[in-house]
Amino acid sequence: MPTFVLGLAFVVFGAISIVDARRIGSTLRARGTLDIVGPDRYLYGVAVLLIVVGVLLVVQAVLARRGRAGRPLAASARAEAAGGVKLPPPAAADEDRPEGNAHLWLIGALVAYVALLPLLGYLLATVLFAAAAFRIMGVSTMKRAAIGAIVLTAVCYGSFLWIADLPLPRGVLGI
Amino acid sequence: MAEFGLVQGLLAALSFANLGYALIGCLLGMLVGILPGLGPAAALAILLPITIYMPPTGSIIIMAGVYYGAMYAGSTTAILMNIPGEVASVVTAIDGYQMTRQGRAGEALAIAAIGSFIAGILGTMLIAWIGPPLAEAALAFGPPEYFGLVLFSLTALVGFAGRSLLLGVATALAGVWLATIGSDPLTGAQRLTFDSVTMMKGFDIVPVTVGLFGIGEVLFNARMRMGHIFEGTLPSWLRMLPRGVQLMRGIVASIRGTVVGGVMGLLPGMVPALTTYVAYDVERRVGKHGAELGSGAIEGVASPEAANNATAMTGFIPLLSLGIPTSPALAIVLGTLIMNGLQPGPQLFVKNGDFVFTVIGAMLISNAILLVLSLPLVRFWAKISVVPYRVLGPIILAVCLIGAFAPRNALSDVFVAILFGVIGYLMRRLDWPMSPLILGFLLGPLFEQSFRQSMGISSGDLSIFVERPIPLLCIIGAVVVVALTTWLKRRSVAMARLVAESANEV
Repeated sequence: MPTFVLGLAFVVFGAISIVDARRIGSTLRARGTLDIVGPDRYLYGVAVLLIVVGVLLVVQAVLARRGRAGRPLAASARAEAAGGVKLPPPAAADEDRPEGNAHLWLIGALVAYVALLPLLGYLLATVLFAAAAFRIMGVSTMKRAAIGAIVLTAVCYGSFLWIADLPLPRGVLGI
Repeated sequence: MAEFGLVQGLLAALSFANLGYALIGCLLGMLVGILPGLGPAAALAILLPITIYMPPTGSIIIMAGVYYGAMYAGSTTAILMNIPGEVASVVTAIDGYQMTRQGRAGEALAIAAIGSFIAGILGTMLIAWIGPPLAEAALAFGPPEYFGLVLFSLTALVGFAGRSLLLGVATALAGVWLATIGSDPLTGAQRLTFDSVTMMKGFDIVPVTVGLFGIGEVLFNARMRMGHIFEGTLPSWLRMLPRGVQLMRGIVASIRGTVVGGVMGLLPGMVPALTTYVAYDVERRVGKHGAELGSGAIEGVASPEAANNATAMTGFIPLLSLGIPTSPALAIVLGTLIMNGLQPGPQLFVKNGDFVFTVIGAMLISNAILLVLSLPLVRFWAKISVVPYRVLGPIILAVCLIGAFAPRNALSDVFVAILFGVIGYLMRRLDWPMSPLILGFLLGPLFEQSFRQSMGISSGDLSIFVERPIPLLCIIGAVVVVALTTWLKRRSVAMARLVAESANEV
């Protein structure tokens, strides 16, 4: 399914690129004496490749659904049994990972952060975001998350002012 | 080119500031190597925005230190707890953890450090030795030669990356396509910008890499728990050192590992994780004690550790002398060079010889620092490695967000970083290779420029790429590498797994 969607996305991006390459047209190319490919034809080329690869991905996804995939692994497993290096099982950390929705909550927090940054300013938005992130990732109490968030924001703010002398966005409150 | 050589470089690297940069880089690198869930590419991506505010020499010294510091230290947790800090240490864990269970943890840690040191020093000498003549030869390269080189790098990388060739091609192409967005550097034409001023600048390397490698990795590891803590005791570091026969066996294996890792490191796509596997396999077949590998043999630690460091070092040769990165981490180093106003490629050795040799000198020093630091601090590192991800994750996110904003002071870059973070998460989740995407994106402009200029030279005749010897060799090389890797991946499950894992982490 994901390969199918990726393939479709490639076809769509390819089509958009062709439309845009047509818009650029040959006006700019004619001006450059040596540049016979030009920005448009190059984009055409990339777009055509995108569409071709996209179609192939869709075909592959459809074929895989019909159960034609998986042959290479069987062959390689036989080779391995005949005496290759045996790797240890994947790190324990991977096995311990429970299937949670933490990543979705984090993405939500990140999107909210970008939306709120111009409004609240860097300091407030980052404290809120970091507290949320600590909680989402499993810090047990809100108090600990809040303390962590304030310290983290202060360190980031301080070090970037110090290293970069950087104007960070201020919100409606002026901070 | 000859006025400023390795000796002068070493002297320049001994300045107070450069020593400081080397020390910071090594410490950060070791930290990255120890912490599972934070790979070298992610660390370099996070560092990238900060390097704008440093002198070019300092920033590259730090980045190089982080890169091979991670290679050094990735073995520590692999040996002590059977948890590789990096994919490159997966192979080390086989014999390393066995040694720990036999009560020889100290010896394993020491030979890992010694093997890495030998590889680091030999690798650096190789850079100083091969780099300048290669750069000199490359001075004669025209657009067709560069097109061949980029094509070779991208195809070779696609061959190594991930489980499917088609997915590799697709992600590389996606990277090349992303690079077309924005103003065309040759004519100024606006491509895929849809009249948006923000889009005119195209995607900047900082938010893209910070998103893909930093934010994406945190999202992927969001619920990671560290369960295993090393409970054994370690002797004082002086007593850890292997002696006599064991030391000799370790050194011989290190040298063999260095040769394997060093030669393979010159090839694009040959990420350290793969060369450790090959070095281990070579040791098993050729080594005097090959049969003992797997049951806690010292060669099983020395050889892969030397190989991954040698690969990390020799990757700098094509980067510094041709401007061609062979791995995502090195691609970020390339980005650092460009952001600091240095044009990577043969001209770098000619115009900025002092810079290149200072960096090479600093590499020698960094390796010595790593050797000295790794053993006495090993207990400290073992403790650090159990920092829970619930603490580490939000810290990485906060640094990524401010880092994405910093270089251009643009809120849109924060948004781009988050977008690429989600893309990075999805790619990890679905096992899609990320290295072709980032290399396609970074090499895209050079690919386009060299292609268009070549077409200008040949009046649109594609045969220019097969009439000249170097582009022809590159094309043949690309075909051979893809055929070879496809064969290797089908032959070995272990190889296929390492390829799949490093596609996301390195």
